[in-house]
Amino acid sequence: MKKFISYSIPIVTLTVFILLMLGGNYLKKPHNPSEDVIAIVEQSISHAKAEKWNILSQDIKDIDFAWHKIIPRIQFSVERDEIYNISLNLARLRGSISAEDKSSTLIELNEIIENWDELTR
Amino acid sequence: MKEGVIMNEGLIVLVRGIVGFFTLLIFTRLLGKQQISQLTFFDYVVGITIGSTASTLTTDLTSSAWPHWVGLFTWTALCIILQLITLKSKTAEKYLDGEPTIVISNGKILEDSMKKFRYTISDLLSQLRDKDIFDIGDVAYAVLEKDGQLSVLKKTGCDSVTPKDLKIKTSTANIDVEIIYDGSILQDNLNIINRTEKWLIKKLENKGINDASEVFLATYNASSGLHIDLYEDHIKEENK
Repeated sequence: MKKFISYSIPIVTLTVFILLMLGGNYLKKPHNPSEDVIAIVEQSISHAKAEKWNILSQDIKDIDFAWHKIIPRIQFSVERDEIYNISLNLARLRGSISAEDKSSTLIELNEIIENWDELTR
Repeated sequence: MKEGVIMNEGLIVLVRGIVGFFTLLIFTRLLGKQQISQLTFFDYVVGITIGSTASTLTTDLTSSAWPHWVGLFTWTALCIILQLITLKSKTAEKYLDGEPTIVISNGKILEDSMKKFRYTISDLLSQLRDKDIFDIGDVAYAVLEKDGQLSVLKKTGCDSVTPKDLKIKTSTANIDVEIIYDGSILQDNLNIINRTEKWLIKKLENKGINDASEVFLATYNASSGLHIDLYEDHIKEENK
């Protein structure tokens, strides 16, 4: 029994560490529709193509809300710079939407998708 | 930045520090019980690399923890594999760890062996002095070990006299057993020396000690008996 415990402690510890480090891929998945960053971004792309700027202003708030729900969950498994990259995309997106700049908005939205995929790669 | 409130760098370093610390603890326990003084140069470098990887795992937030952890795992696994190979094969041990070299034979320095390992005369003299040898002529053999330590066999005429040479009877050497530590009686150790708590308390009372809590350390040696160290050392009073 003593031997079993002495072997299981390091095995369990290392397993927990591995799950913590590799759990980002699972943890970035949305638990409810309000956390689904990619779904909202894809919706925003179609709004941008149709130049619906009023709806896009609400979309950016939704993306921001969803993103800030995801960050605490994935912060232990991903690179800090990858988190910053998406946050910077959001800041630039806010600017391009207020300027009603269609091409910049589409660039930023597509970059968010790419950065999101890169997050736990 | 807004996400600074949510993404707490201090907390991330804390969590990654816990991961790095305990991973290192587990991996070094797996690597075995070699002491620093027994490490070869390669073992030393491996130790530094593993430590440095664990440190990067903890504080380098520009990359995720996983690649560093894999690096730590790879170095440890390779070390264990090499340890197992050297354990199984004598030839592999010789090839991977090197072998001891004789540098002094019958008081004569073997310059070729020294050159081969870039071992200087000042290194040799310093290591001899460390072993209380100030005359190379006293040395029958000196062997440079794999870890860089020098083992010396003195000429029989220069060896220290031992009680055996003088045919003096000596008592058997025994190991000390701790029976009180930090005021607590160690029952398991009392059982090892076949003594009871009652016996211990009586011994303490004989020395004017009323309670085990007054004792910092008490050890028992089969040849020299009980040695007691109290919390109150009375050094100042004695000096006065």
